[in-house]
Amino acid sequence: MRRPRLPIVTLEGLIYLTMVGFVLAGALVRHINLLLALFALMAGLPILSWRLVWAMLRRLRVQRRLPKTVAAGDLLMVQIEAANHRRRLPTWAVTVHDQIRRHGATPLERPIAAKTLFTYVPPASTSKQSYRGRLMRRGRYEFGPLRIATRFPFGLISASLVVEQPQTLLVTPRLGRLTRRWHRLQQSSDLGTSNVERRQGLLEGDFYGLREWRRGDSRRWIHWRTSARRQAPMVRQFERQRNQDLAVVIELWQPSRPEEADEQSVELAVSFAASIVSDLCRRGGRTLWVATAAQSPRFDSGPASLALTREVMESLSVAEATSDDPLPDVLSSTLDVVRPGTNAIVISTRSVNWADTERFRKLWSSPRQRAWIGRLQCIDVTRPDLAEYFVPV
Amino acid sequence: MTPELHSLVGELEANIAKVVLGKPRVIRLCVVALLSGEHVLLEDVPGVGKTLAGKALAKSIDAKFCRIQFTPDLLPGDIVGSSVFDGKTSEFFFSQGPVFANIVLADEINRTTPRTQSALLEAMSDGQVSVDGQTYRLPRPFMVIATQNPFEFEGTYPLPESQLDRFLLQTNIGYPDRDDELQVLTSHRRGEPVDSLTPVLDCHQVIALQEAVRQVTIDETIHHYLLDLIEATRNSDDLHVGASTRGALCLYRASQALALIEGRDYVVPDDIKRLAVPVLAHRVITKGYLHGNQRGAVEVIIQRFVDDLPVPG
Amino acid sequence: MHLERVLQIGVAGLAALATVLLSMGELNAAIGLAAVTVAVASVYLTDITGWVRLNRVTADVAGVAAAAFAFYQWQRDLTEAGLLALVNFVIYVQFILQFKHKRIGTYWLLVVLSLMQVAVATALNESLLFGLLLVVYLFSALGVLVVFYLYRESSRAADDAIDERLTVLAAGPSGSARWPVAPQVAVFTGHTTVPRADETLNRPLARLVVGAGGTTLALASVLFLAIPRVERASWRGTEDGPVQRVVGFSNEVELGELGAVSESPEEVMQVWLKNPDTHQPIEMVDEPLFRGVALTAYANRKWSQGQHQPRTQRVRSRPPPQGAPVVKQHFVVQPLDTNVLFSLYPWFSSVTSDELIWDSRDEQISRRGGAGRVIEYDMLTTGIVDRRLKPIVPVLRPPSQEDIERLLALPEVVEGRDPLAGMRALAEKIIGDIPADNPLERARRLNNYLRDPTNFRYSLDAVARDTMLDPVEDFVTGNRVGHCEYFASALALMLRAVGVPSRLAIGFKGGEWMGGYYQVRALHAHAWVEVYLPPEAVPAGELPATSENGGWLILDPTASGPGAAATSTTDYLIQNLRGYITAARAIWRSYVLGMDHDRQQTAIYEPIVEGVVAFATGATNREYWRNFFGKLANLVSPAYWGLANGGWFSWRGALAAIVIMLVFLSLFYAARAIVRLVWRRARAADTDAERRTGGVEFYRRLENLLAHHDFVRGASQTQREFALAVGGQLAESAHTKRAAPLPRHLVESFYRVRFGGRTLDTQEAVAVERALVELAAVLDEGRRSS
Repeated sequence: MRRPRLPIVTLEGLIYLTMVGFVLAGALVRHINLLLALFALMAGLPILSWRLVWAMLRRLRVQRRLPKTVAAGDLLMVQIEAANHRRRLPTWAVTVHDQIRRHGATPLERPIAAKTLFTYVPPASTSKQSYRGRLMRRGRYEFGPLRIATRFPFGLISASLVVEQPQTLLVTPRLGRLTRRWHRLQQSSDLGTSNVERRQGLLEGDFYGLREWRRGDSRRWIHWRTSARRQAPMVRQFERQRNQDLAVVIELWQPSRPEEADEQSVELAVSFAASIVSDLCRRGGRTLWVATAAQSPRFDSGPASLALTREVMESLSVAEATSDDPLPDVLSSTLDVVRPGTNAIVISTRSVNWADTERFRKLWSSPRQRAWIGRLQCIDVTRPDLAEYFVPV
Repeated sequence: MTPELHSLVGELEANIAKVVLGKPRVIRLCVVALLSGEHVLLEDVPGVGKTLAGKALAKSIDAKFCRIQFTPDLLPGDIVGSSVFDGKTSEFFFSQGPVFANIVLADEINRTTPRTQSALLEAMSDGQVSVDGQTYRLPRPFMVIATQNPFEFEGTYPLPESQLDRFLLQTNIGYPDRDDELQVLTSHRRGEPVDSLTPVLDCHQVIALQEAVRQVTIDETIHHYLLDLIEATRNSDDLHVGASTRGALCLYRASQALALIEGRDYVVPDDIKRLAVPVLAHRVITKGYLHGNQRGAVEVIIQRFVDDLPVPG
Repeated sequence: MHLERVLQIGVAGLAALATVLLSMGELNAAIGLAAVTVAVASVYLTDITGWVRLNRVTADVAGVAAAAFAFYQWQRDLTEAGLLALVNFVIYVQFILQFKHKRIGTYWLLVVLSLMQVAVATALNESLLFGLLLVVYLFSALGVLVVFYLYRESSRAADDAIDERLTVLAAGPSGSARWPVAPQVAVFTGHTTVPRADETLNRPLARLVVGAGGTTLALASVLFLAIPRVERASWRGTEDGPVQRVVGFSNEVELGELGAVSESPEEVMQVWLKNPDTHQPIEMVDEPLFRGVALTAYANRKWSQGQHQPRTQRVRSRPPPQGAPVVKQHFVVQPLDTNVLFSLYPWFSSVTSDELIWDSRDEQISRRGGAGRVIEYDMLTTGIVDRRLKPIVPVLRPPSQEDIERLLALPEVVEGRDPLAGMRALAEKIIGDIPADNPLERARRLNNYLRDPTNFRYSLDAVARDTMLDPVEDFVTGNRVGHCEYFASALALMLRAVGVPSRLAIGFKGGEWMGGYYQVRALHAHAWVEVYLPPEAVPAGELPATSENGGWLILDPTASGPGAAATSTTDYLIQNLRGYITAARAIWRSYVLGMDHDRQQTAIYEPIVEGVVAFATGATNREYWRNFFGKLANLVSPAYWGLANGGWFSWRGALAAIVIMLVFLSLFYAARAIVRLVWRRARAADTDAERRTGGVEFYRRLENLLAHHDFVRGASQTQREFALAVGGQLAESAHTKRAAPLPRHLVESFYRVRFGGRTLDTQEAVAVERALVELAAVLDEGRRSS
């Protein structure tokens, strides 16, 4: 879809036209044929410009290539490809303007303007340029429409063409640094709950491998088959399963008239949650459930993997804070689906009182969910002790 | 391809069908995997004949067959084998594990730990095993028929995506219909029927068939059809991860095998279409988790791509 | 080289050129020289080495000084227009700017200043060289503008890139205390460097600039010619320029006008001289004199036909006398502003013409009317013998006494002063003792005297004449420089002074031999003298016995005229070049500088209007088309182009060849475009069907057949699925049940052919055909029954 815009006479063009006018006036007033000839020479130029600016844009196709995602504040490189489909005429000096608009931005937030210049595109070939910048806020960004503009060759007339090429880019939350203390806490919570409910019924933990018998090993651990084959006693060695499944519930609450501090705590909560999830996903070996109690609740789960990170990042980047209270419902539906024995963390922008039976009526009324109440960790990002776990970068 | 070879394929299918009743599709897919020289993953609830299908295929081929029941305490060494000290010669010698067979039936593969799983999967992808720095080649043909319970069941270690990719195709079995089930009941009166199967193929014939599969021609337009399909999975909004290049290659090989089984030496669009779901569904990852049955959702998505894509003429 | 360096050099050159153009006019040459020096110096000192760079304050001070100086100049010399002071100021500013460190705006300002200078220069100049330089300026300005534009765009982008880096540094996440609610970065841009010149200034760009220049010139020509000029306004260049006169043919000759004479290359006529029996073209050894009018009366510095009742009559058949060698002349005369027509003297005619009339007194031919049209006519002459002009030709009608007196009339003696006394004395002196009964010898003696280059000099330039004297008297006694009219007038009047009857003949001398015919141009206009010899004075054998009326002696006293020069010069190239320059100058004068209302009307508007009107009125007229095609046929015939006449090259032929080639070329391109369009359409339709059916013919028929019965395959449905679906539907009805497996069979055959790369053997082909036929039959049956 290409929409041409009316060509505009540039400032240089206006100066030029004024001079042309003066020459014409001089010629007519004083009856000088040569001046008239000069006028004719000068008058040809704008006409030619008008033809050429369109010629530059004809059969020129531009395309934007976006990365799949980018983190807020990271360098974003957007590639623009210009393909000149003409067989003879090259294209010189075409500027491609782009617009970036945050989805759900307030009307006051002006769209970001971006542009890049193609100095020369030979006929029947494609050249690439890119523009760069940083998007500082997470969210879904809409790119486009692209505007191709040129004033070539004389800069007198500017023509432009609008190419509808809507694309969206997800800007994921910025990741912070989790402190050692957080990691310790995470480990201890893994250990602390390991004996609560084991599925395999093996108190020793998961089977890890065989080793030679040493004094003090329980006879129950001898692996008889291997011992017979090796003709030496071998024992089974067990590994405690340290990778505990985890459910992370993020509450993005803010008052109905948020102040800057409230917005900051929302961003902090999102960033914190994103950091936790990406950290755990990198470590792998467990199943994660991530629920976002925001304007429109989102649920993501799966074995910790890169794919899950992406999924959660996508949810978190578009999560909008709400002044309602979706937390109880979101928490309940999450606890409904998670495996028993899963740890649960609630990250909130305010303090949560689990004893509020009115608010968490579902939680209290379901026997299965009630089992979690004692083990629900809650982190309030507005409290200063967050800094012990998490440092925004 | 000689007509004899083709008739062998028919005999093989007929042989399996004697015991795996009313499942022509599953049988066909297993044979596709066999002729492609690849592996198959059967997934369904316990007791619908996953193991039976695997055993029937194995028994129909005159080759070394081995069955491994995967349990949580199974060790990698229990599969690939281990170095054993020989008291007489005072030397270590390598004792081959059960994986050194032509057909390996890996029962309930998701019940063992990821470490053990990966030992098998390495053997699957490379056709060899490495123990104590020594590499041992596995015999040819080599095929793994793995079965697993749906991973929503307790006590399972789901196979990671990277390892699922090693299987040519994954399929479920489904409950048999009433007539077939009735026949199962009657046939089981006379003991386990699968034990009475006689082989109809030997290893050389299997290898010959595998060679013949590679000779099956694929038209240029079908290449593009296939690649369009792969690309659709990558560009989809419903999927996080689309099919890999290995996925494309597998679909290619599988459609060649299917063409051969049906007596053609060329691939038609129908082959691709029929194989898209079993070959691709386990290679992609969907979004979200409150959508119910994961596998079912993926199959629907893949099927939708197939239904939307214009076929070449 | 860096793009900016190219721009610096270009702008400096442009500025220098503009100032030089200006200095060609009113200003002295020194300022042009200064401009060139400044341009070279500034490029080296300021732009390349950076040794001299005026800072802002210095530049401002210099600017004020320049303004003051210009004001002082204006004050001092008020007669000069204020314009010139302004121009001086502009030049000073340009010099100052050139020594500054230049920014984008500076370059633009310099370009604008140069354009202003050119505008002023145009008002002051009018030479052809200036016009050519203006074209040079046009091309350079276009080139500089393009470079300027490219440089500006890329350097702006580079500046933005720098801004972006600064912004990101300032608002970077680590530097901001307000994170995570950080402000958005406002600038997004790419491209960090200005490209090198060789990356952008390439051959296509040069082509573009040249093309743009050419297009601008063409546009400008059309615009210039089309802009209507105000009536009654003098559009001849600047108002105080010297008066120009274009030489050409006219019915009168006025002597003593001021100013130079410029020669116009305008075509007047083409003349074929042929042997009437063999039709061989004749190329003369000397130059033919195509006689138009004869002027007998000289008074008040002016030759005219005198008091005269025209006795005109139609040209009837007038056969030449027996025995005399005859040459056939064929004339094609372009539109002229006179009715006079031309021929070698004496003329005869073998046909009777409606268009031609003649005046028996002076043997002058003219046309009945319609001078604005091309006219073709044939004449015979006996004036050529052995490819040379006959010096004496017979008098056809015996002159009366009155006629003789007219041929002897001299300006009257006013108040005892003979205006031609000096001339008369000189003539007497020259003829010396030649007796009065030998007019032939007298005439030859006087003629030789005038032709002697040591006595007189030929020139077309303006000659300062003594305005108190008769121009002929001044020419003979004082300033012995002049053109053919002076020479001819002098001879005629001197002859009359010594009692020999004579008259002035006006016409054209010679022409360019185009290998078959003479191309006669306005610059070939000439004047010569006809001397009456009574019968007894004609030497025996000079005239045929039948002509007892005496003869005309034809004398050309001009030593070297336009035609003479052309033949006497051996250096053809230089001659040609001079001709072209002359032609260019003439065009420049008449169609650029002198393009006034009248010329515009006659040369541009009217021909166009006439053409359009003729076409509009004639398009329905059969006669018009016959004429048109007749002309076309004429164009095609080689004789018209002078090819049959033995020449190997002619301008008209070359032009025709070019035009024909252009026509064929455009026809070829048009045909090719149409063929391509049709081909593409056809192929698009083809490929669509082919894509759906894989190019297998029988399967296409199957799909068409099924589509006819409302079975259409979906795009994502495979052929087999389609066949199964169709088969399933067919199986549902008892009528069509037996055809149910057919589609499937056909599709399997199709698969074998399409994807298996097989060809059907005869048996299979027959089976396929049969299946198709049966399917069609069953489907039709099913439709009827339902």
